[in-house]
Amino acid sequence: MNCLSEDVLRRYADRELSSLEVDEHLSSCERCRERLGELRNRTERVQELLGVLAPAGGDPDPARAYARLASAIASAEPEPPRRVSFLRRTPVWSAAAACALILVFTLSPARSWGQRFLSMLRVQKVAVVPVDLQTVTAQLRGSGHEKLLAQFISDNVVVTMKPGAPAIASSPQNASAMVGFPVTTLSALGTPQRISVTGEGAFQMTLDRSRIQALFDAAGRSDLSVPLSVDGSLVAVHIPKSVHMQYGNCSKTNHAPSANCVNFIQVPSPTVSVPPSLNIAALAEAGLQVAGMDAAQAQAFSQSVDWSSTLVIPVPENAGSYETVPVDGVNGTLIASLPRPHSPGGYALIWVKNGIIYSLAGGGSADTALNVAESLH
Amino acid sequence: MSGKAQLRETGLPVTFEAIFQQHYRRVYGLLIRLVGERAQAEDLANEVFCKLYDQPDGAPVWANPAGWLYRAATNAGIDALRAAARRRRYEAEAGTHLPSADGSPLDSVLRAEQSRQIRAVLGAMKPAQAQILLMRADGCSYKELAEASQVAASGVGTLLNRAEAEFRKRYLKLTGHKEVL
Repeated sequence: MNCLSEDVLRRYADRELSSLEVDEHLSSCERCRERLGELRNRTERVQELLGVLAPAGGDPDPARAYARLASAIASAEPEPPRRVSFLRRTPVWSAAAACALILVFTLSPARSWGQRFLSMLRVQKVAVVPVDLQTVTAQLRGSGHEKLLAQFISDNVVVTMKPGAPAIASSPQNASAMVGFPVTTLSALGTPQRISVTGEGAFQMTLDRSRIQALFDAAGRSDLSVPLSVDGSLVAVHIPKSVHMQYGNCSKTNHAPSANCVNFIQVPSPTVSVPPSLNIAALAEAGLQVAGMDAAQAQAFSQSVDWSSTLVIPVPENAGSYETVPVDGVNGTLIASLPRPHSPGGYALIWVKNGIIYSLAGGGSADTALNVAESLH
Repeated sequence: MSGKAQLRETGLPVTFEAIFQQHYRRVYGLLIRLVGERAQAEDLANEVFCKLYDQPDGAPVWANPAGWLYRAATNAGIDALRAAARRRRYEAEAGTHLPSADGSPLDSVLRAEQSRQIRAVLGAMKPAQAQILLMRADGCSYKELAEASQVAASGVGTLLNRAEAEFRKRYLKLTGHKEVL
């Protein structure tokens, strides 16, 4: 056997290589034994010198570092302003986005920190509430307080899991494998033009009573007061992976309802973690009034809803009608919007079954939704 | 699914947080050895992970975040080291630089001087070589070194040899061959 290469000696010295051949060669070759000895000395000395640099201050704290990183990322996120711009877009077509908005408006956990004290809320039902969002957004914009809302969100919301850009799925089967639940298709509409899967997302927010009050004030509702229990409490929202199918001829850039395009979104219920002691109804009542309901209506509505299991969808009062319809063996909510100068009008059919929220939306007559929904697979 | 939210490697979804949890200690360990100050090492580690987070979905970095992370951390640490060396030169000229005193004053001065020399050597080396030496000093296995240096595990021995030889040569030159290495 030839003399051993530097590489073999090195791996042998580092116990990354054990070989009978090498052992035998070393026992018979003095030169290689010497080289091994020199190599070991050099490694030892270099590592000893580098050991001088070893930190004396103890272990780092990854949890604290991650919290810091998450808030650095959240403060640089473009997402919060996007969530604000969502306020301007009515009606609301995306179930997941509607959740985020409504949660911002309605949840009020008590003071206790720490997620182990939180209870999990899941969507089991959908309720529709007619609101006058245009007035409130116009009021905020008009008074120059639009920024207040953006800042409120960016200062208090920490994105803990960024969903990333949607990934394209090659087929419904492929999409099912990606999201981990069986994806439903609409056979009446043929093959989907595009199937995309959006990753999990999660964010947390710490509620600050004085800033919510400032928002109420800016919206011209100083008469409403934010419950004291809100202050300093933590709300954590987790939105699972979702599937977005487009049928027909959909524009990539324009998301306004179009008669040729049907959007079908499926997402397992987002979970919201809040302290069990919280009085969601009280904050919801104030939020609903800010959104244009009168006090008696807001009270009646917030008491009629189980806030821990209901997805509340705000529908601008003047935008259309809503009704309960049977879909796939459960009750769904069909929202129809009327044609307006910049929008052809359209429908959204939303239902919840086996823990998954479905939203079927398109342009044209609401009857289409019911016909299409007949062909669920 | 692609990118930071979902990286499919072993069939399990790997989130950005999982990448962070897996590599933070090592990245910090590398940086603290290079810059010597806890707060600065934490700041740099934070910046490196922020930069990773900002990489677009589908970018090649997500196929091997470890390789990218350690390279970025080494570069950031060496840049900081060089900036500190420049600052120290100015301070020395102005007579304002005082060594920190913990332990016996003489020990700490000697140790500080030795640390400075070792860092000067690391800072003058190719970053990839400094990186592999520092990661080895932090207890990384060949497998971890291979992943971080983006080579096959069989190539790690050769890289370590070259890096050590280079370190030894430069260290001897800097200290005037006063010691046997």
